[in-house]
Amino acid sequence: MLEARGLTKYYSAITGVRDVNFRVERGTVLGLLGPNGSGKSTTVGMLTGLLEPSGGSVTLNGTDIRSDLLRYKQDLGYVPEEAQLYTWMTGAEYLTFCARLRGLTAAQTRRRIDALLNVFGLQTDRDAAMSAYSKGMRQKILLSAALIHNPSIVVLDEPCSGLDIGTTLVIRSLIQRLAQGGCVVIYSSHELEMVERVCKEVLILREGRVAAHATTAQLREQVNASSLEDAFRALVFTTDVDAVAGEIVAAISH
Amino acid sequence: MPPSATDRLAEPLEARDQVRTIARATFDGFLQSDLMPQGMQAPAIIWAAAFLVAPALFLPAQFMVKYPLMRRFHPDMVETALWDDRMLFMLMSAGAMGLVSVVLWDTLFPARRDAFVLTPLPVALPVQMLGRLAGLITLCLVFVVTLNGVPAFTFPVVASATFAVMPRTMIGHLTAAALADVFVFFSVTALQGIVILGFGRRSAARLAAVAQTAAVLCLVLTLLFIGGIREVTRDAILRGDMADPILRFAPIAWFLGLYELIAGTPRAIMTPLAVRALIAALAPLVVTVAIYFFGYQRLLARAVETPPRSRRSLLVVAASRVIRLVFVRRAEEQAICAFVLRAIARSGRHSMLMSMYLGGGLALMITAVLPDVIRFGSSALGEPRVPTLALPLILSAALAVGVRIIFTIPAEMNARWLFQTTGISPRRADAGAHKAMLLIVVPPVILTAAVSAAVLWDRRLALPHAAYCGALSLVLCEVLLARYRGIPLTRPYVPGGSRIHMLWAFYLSAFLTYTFTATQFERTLLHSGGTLAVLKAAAVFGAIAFVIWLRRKSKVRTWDDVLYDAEIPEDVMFQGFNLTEVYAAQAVAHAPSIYSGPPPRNRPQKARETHEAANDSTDRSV
Repeated sequence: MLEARGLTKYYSAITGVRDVNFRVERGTVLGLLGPNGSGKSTTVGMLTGLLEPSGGSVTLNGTDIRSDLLRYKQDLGYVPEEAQLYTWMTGAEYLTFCARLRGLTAAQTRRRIDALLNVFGLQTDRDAAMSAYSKGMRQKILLSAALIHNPSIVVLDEPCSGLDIGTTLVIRSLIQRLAQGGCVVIYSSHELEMVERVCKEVLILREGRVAAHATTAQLREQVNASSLEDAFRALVFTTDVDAVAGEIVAAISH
Repeated sequence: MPPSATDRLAEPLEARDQVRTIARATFDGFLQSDLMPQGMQAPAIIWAAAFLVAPALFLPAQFMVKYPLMRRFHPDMVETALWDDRMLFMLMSAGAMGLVSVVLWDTLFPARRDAFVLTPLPVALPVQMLGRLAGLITLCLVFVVTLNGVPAFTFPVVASATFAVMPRTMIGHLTAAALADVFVFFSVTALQGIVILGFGRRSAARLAAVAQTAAVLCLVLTLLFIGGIREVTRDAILRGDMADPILRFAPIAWFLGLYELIAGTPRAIMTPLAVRALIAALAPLVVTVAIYFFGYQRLLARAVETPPRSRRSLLVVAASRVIRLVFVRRAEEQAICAFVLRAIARSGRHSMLMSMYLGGGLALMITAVLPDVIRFGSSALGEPRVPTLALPLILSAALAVGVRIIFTIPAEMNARWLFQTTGISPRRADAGAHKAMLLIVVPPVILTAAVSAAVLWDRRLALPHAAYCGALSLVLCEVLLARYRGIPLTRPYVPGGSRIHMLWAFYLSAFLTYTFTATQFERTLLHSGGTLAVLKAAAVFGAIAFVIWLRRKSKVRTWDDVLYDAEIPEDVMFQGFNLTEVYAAQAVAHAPSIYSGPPPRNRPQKARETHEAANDSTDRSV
């Protein structure tokens, strides 16, 4: 069980997130939603150990992850929001590099890389430098790198960015399978439809605070909405979108 | 009624404005080095300009006394003294230009990013081409003026006999030095352009490492043998025979001829030399312009095309397997070693730095043996003398120092999240860094020592010499890594850590002790105790290296986590009051995506505040 207790992060006087509390049981997918600047990436940063909380803690089975961060990270698979990679490596080299850093044996590494590259259709490009990869190909490499060591905690920050529809559907099914296998999955995204389909629970952040935390069904009921998108609009996005669109058109017409 | 497409668009820029805009962007791009964090370019340019212009400022000051005295007491020597000094200025200027051109190697022709940015814009291909070319020529002009503007004025003023000859001499100085720079700069661009068009970007990238090594080799050799170069050129001009190989093949003689011709020499030999200088300067320029004019579209295509897949040779595969089985057995250490080796081989900035250190090392190796070879001929290499014995140690110093510096230069800082989220232990990280350094430094040193001993002297000397040099390079690696912490290439670069401006005398002494004193010791051992004594000494040095390693290993056990932050040496960065270091410290402190961890403890308040400010800027971006 992964739990955030009073998670807070300050950047000098600016509050990144304040008093974020949630609990994710094994076999559960938690969707992390919120507009830009709401604190999603800060929360993900603290969950992955990239950022140190200013207050509160993240615990795994009751133990603060910071007490043995190395052990926690060995069980963690992470897909970052941006595809930051060592692009002078080839795809196969990068995955080998990740697998070796995770302590996988040579045989395991070879087997899993072959399997992952095959599944993602990257086998023919495995020996090409990643600088020549498309956005989708890089994203597939990131996903493969996050899963190669069979992690029990998976944090996905916009994992479907740049992927084609087929691969997105595969990822959707994969997330559900990972959860069924007992993984804790945290899924941060702006794609509300996808979140609605794969996540059991949703945590909505707004201006660094928790705006809502419930199952998708409960959220819809709370605000009497027919879909998660409507619920999200009601809870977070109060701006009149049509008016904003009209203003944009007016601005470029003059 | 909605506005039409033509209403919506502003008046397009005229082609001339587009050329100017692209030229300016291209020129700015040359000065944006990815070697250092954003914001550190300005101090780097101040450093570079100061370094390049400094000799031009102090040399004329020295000549203020030299030439009046010479004209009074040795008027017959004035002409050759002028030649010497003119060659000195031109060699320094052209050498600096050569270094600039190989440092900027990757940016001289349109790259993938240029193709993606410019091609979708409503800019005609010839306009793009002219803009890029104008940017390239502007870059050359800026360096020509920076390097030669001051000496073209001051040197003729102090060296001319009368006011009347000063203007001609000034024009001569500026023209000859500028054309020498043009010759060097555009030779590099022409070579690169031909390789890209003929063989593709991958070959050009591979050639870059060779070109950079060769450029540093030439530059260091030129600086070290500047007296000899001037002497042979002067003698050849005095002989006045155009069939002389020096006059036929040495560019410095041609450009001196041009200088002298413009300055008004009565010597006839200068005219054909000047013609050669003009041809030499214009030919690579014309080739470069032609490559741009006729090959620009192909250059763009080359920039966006997918590079061919890399294939490892059987030898590399076998070597890496042996290394994994014997030396680097743990998976995490293998990953770190492979990461470092690949970065040095493929990351532009790292391969450039390694080429520079290697080029410097090779130049010092040549410098060590050349005087003996000139004096005694091939017999100088026939017995184990100090300069020849020292070759592997000079190589090891260049490689080890180069690798140690490269460890501190980050590769793709934004991609280091991988290490941060992997949970690698400090022991494994340290062992990986350690082994990577040993892999790069020790095998070439042992190979050089064994081969040089076996080929030049006696096969029986190969083993002790290789063992001795190998053991010493182990000690050197351990000493250089003594204060290193973290995973190579993942921590922010903080300039000034070596404090070379304070400790240069110490470094020089250490280098001379490590190379020549240690070699003298080896030679003494060889003469007094034979190969067994050398092997015993190697064992002692090996034991010293082992003890240093053991101490380090016990220290690593106390570390809690792998360090990813910069350790700013506050005494250097905040109390030294060196202008560029203050600039650098400010730039590092405010550079985004550099710091991500907690502020270090036990640090003076000012340094901590700076660090926290940097943390804030990074965290906000996250």
